[in-house]
Amino acid sequence: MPEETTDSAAVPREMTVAGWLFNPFIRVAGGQALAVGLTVIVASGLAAAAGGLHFDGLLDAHVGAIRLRLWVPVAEGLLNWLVITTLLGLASLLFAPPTVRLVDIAGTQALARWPLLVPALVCALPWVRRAVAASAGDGEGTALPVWGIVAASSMVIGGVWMIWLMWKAFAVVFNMRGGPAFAVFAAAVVIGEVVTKLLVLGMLNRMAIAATTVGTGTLAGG
Amino acid sequence: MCPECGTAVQGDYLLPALSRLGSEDQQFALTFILRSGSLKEMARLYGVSYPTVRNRLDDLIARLTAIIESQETDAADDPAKERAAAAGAGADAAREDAAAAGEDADARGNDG
Repeated sequence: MPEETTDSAAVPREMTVAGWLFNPFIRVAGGQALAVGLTVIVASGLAAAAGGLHFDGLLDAHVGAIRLRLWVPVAEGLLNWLVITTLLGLASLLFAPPTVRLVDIAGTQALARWPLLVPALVCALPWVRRAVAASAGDGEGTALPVWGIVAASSMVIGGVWMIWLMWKAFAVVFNMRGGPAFAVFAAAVVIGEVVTKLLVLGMLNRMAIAATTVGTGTLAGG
Repeated sequence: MCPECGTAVQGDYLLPALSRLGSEDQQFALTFILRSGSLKEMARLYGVSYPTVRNRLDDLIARLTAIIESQETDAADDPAKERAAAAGAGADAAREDAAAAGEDADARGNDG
C-alpha cells in the first residue's frame, strides 16, 4: 500500500511543547494515557505525603504541618480520579455519541491530573516544610514567608492547569463544543467536587476512629 | 472554470456527495477505506489519539449528511435534478453507507 500523506489530518504532524503541555489528548488517550496518568497520580501522592499535602477534593490541594501516611494522598488522588471518571462516564451515556469509550475518559482524566505533581514536589522541599511548620506555629519561626508564597502559588498554578487539562480531555473525548459542552463539564466538576469532599472526609474520619480504637496514633502516622 | 487549466464543465446535474467534499475530507475518506475502516490504524497513521481521529470521522459524517440532505432538497425542487440524483448513487443509500461506516469503524476500533 502506498504511504499516505497526512495532509488530511486535523492536526499538524509536529506537536509543539505548548501542545503537549496544554492539550496532549490530541496525541495521547486510551490505555496509554491511563497508564501514564495512574503512574503520575501515585507519584504525586507519594510526593504529597512527604510534603504534607492533601488532595482533599476533586479540585483541592491543601498543605499542613502534619506528615501524612504515604497512602493517604495516593488514595485521595485515586478517589478523585475515580469519581470524575464515573461522573463523566455517566454523562457520556446521556450527552455524548455512543462511540465514546470509557477507557478514553478514564485515561485522559487520569493524565489531566499530572500538574498536581508540581505542588506536591514544591511542598516536599525542606524550605517549604519549614515555612508551613512556622505558619502552623510549631516551627522555629525562621522560615522566610516567601516559601509559603511559593507553595501557595504552585498549588494555584497546578490547580488551574489541571482544570484546563480536564476540560481539554473532556472536549476531545466527548467531541462537544460551546455552551452545552461547558455546562456538562461544569456540572460534572461541581458534583465531583462535592462527592469527593464527602468521600475524603469520610475516609479521614474512619482513619481517625480506627487510630483511636487501636491506639496506634493519629492521622499523622509516620 | 478552473483558473489554472481553463477547463470548464457546465450542466444541470448533481455532483456525487463525496465529490462535493473538500480535498482534505476526500483524502481522509480515501485513507479510511484503504485502512479497512480501522480507526486504530488511522490514529497510528496520523500520529493522533483514537478520540481525535474518531472526532474527525464524526465531523466528516456530519458534513456528508448535510450535503446529502441539501441534495435531496435541491432534487425535490427540480425534477430534472431529481432524475439525476436517482440515476446516481442514491442519497439514502449513501447516507446509510456513511452511518454504517461509522459504526463499523467503532467496532473495529473497539475490537483491536
